[in-house]
Amino acid sequence: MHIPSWLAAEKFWVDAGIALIVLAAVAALVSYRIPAARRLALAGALPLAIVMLLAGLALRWQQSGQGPFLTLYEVLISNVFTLGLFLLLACALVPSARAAAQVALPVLALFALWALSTSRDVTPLPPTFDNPWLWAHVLAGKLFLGACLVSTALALRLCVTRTSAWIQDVQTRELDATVWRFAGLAFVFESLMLVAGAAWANDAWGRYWGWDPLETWAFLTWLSLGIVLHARLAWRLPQRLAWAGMCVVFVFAVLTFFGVPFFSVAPHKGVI
Amino acid sequence: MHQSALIRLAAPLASLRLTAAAMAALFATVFLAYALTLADSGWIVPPLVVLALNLCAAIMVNRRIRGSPGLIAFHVALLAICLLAGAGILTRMHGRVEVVEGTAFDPSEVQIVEQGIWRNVDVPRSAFVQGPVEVDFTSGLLRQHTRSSVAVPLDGGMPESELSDTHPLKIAGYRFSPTSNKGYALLLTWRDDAGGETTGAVHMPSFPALEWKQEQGWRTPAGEDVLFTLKPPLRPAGEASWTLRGDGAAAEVAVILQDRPTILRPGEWQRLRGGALRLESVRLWLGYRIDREPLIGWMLLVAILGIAGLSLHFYRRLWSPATRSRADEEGDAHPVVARG
Repeated sequence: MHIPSWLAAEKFWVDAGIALIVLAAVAALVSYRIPAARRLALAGALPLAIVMLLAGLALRWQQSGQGPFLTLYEVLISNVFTLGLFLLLACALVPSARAAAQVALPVLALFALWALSTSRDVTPLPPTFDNPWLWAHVLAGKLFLGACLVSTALALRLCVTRTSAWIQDVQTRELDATVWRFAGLAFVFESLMLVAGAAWANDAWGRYWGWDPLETWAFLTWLSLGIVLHARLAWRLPQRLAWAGMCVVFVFAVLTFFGVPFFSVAPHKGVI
Repeated sequence: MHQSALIRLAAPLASLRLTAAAMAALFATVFLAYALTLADSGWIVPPLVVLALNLCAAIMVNRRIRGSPGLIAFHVALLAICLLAGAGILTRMHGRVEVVEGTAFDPSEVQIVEQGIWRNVDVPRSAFVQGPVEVDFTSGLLRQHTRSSVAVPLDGGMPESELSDTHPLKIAGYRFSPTSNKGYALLLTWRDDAGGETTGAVHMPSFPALEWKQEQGWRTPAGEDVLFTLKPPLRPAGEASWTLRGDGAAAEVAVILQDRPTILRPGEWQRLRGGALRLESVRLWLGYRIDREPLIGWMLLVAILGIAGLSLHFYRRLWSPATRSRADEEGDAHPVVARG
């Protein structure tokens, strides 16, 4: 079977990016014992991986004439790129977010390896995707997932590291505050994602809300984050319970982004 | 006096614990309705009502909300969105219609799908005249862009504009959006034995979705049942891209009368009981979705203002350097509890 040369070139860039993401994840994992490995992950492998994924995605976009919005492969790879970029910026701008890398990078590596098992074929975009609200919807969604990843990675790290001993220190307090800073950011961007998605749905299918599977799951994710934010204040939840709540929110977000659209018969009625 | 009594009444309703519990109940009902594929979404109404009352009470008495302009903007916006969504259900209208190339839109043919109780449908008559329609397809019969040319009466003229999947026609608050539904139509003239003539269109089933079943029954004004079958113009075979156009001259139409098919070409007459039928032409019809949502612009504005308020609140509470250092000193909103 003949493979176009641009698809082979795209495969090279994306596969190289995935290999670097896996390297960054391994470095992040061993940084528990070898602290210098975190520098290799955040200052070496991750930025290089982002550049390579960008090259692969740009090539695909330029050759296929459409953005990476549709297939599971496109959604996974574009999210590995944007989540990696978000993580890099978060680590650069918020020093306390650097601790998220030890959990976030292995999660990114799992998404990247998952993408390897999916079809790379280009599927034409439905005409309803030709809408400016789609860009706002996708951008807000990626920023939401990025903020949610950083918040959850910190929360999970705090959960895990506190199982054996409870040490009250300034660093823990700072990390806990950073969990909720990024959770707040995630709530803002998910609200924006829902509003932009509703505006797109109204233009594309004549209704702003239709309780289709994707809309329902996106709303459940928004609601779960709202519940965690409110419950944390209302009941002054034990920290570990609140952090576990953020992890549950992230699971809902992953199911919404990578599960429902590809395992549902009609994620958005009218798309097909 | 009245105000303080109202606040005393509202205080228990404004509980943040009630908010979290009602949100959890809403989560559970939405999830159950989804998991059990329930058609009735009435389950979500009780938690929504509790949340709305809780929100009203919190806006009245909660010092944290009242003390933060961003937080009050977000919560008022949430309440306003609920009210606007409710009012929208009462005032909106959704319908559909099929219009044949070269004919004017006829509101009597609109099929109402959903209509609020506070509004009569007053879709303007002859809002537009349908021009040529083109629909692009790519390999695998995947529909791409639709182009629909329409002429709209305006200031004595009939300027033309091109509609597409993302560019609807907006007239008098109604939005006419081209849909994926389209097909061939037979433009027919019926002449009765007295010489009176009537021209109309018979819409064949959707094409190419129902390409294999291009037949349609029709009863003549004299009461005779006939069946039309259409053999559409040939389209490129295999994986080639192609464009569906109203080139009906290449189509073959058969009139089946008592199981006897007769091929009818444009301009030809077929003698039937009580009159004769002439095929004028074969054209395309295009399906439109008609929507009227008078409050949707306000909903979008309120939602954006609410999110701006939420952003302001989180920035001041969690991200601003001044509040961050204060939160660090105070242990944020969530005191760290030392345990042994």
